[in-house]
Amino acid sequence: MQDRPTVNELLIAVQTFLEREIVPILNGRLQFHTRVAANLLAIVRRELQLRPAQAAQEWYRLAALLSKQHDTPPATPEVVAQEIRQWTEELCEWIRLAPIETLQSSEELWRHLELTTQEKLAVANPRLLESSEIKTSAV
Amino acid sequence: MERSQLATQLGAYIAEKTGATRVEILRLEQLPGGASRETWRLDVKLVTDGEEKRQSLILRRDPPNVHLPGQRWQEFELLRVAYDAGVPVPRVHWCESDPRYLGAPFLIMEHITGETIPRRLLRDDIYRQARQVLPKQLAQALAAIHRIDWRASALANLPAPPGNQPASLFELDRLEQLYRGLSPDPHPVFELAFRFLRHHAMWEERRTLVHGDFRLGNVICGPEGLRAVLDWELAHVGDPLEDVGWLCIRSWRFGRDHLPVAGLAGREEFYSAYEEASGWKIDRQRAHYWEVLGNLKWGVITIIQLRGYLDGDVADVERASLGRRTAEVELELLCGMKGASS
Repeated sequence: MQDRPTVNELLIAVQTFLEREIVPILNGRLQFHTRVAANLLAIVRRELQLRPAQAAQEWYRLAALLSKQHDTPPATPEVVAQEIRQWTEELCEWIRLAPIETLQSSEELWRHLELTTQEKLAVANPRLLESSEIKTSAV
Repeated sequence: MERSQLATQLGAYIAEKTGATRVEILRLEQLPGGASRETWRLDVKLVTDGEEKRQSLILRRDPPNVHLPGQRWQEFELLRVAYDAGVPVPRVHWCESDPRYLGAPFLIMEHITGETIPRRLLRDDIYRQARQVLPKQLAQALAAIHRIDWRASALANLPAPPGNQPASLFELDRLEQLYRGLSPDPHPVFELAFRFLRHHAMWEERRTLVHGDFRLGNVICGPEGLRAVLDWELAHVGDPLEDVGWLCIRSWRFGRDHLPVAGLAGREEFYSAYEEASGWKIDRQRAHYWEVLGNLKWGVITIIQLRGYLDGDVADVERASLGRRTAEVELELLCGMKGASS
């Protein structure tokens, strides 16, 4: 077991240092890229916090959507991620081949795509999600 | 290539081109942004037979490991033709596709002073008047671009769709090929968007020159309004409404979503100004179609940039961050497809 600061606390330290100490003394390209770098750390922090729950939810939705014979996600996160990826590729294949009417009317498909997109944005850009109408329509 | 080496090479190149006996590089500074192309501010002093002349220039150079299509000489020809057609653009000086000079193809043009950063143009007080006139000026510039004769010989090599399919399908083929070749991850929303846009494809009423990247960020403005239209490397022949839809995509509103056209105007205000300047009526349904397609195109560009980052060895945070912006596009595509089918 590691001592404090936690991973999240270490990342906060670096992110805050960049935002408060470095950004103000730079300008032009370096200032812009430093802002981007600080934002990437914020993304990492949100992903570390949200990934376990998001992965489980996505796994359950895909299993239902593709009629997979599984009850619960595998125990190891790596295997869950592998299955999500493999099933998402299967879903892509299905979208490429299915009749357009089926795609347009499949509520389960649209709901899965909306929720998955929301989960990505909860990590990458939560502010956009707050201002979006699709959040209220899908949740 | 190091900055000092770049300065030396540039000095030699400009001396060769101008016949100057001495070329002094007064300033060489890389400008921010431009994930697909390095842009450098370049001030030079030319000495010819004891006479001194100062020139303020812009160097545009390809970075390594970038997969965006387009060649420098084509941008050069486009800028020349656009200038003659009365589109506000910088005068171009020289163009090289041979990488032996600066390590990559490049273009050197007149430097036009002004602001390019969208967030400043959309928020700073000194651009208040510019924001009033820009919707009309952008509409007029776009109409002037669309009226350029793309059959002219200088533009003969522009990508153009075959005559037997709508321009949108040709553009979708191009985007889908890029997406399939470059995306490291599966994107079901993109798959759905490709199916949806193919199903709803419409024939264009006319084919014109299409700028391909007409938006804030690619124009120079002053407090009084528009000064120049830049970034012609994605120009092609197609449906003029492609440029209209692209100008409306969410990414180019920079947070001002209540003003869908570039964060500057409502759609109808812009459409009327464009219709007046071009003499052509805008088909609203097809404009919305191109807006959805435009969002998909921006999504594919985020993947191209991501691929450039993954394949490159440079710690480029901007390109790395674009990979995580693909989800923003997916959200917009889901909204756009719902809006069109209801």
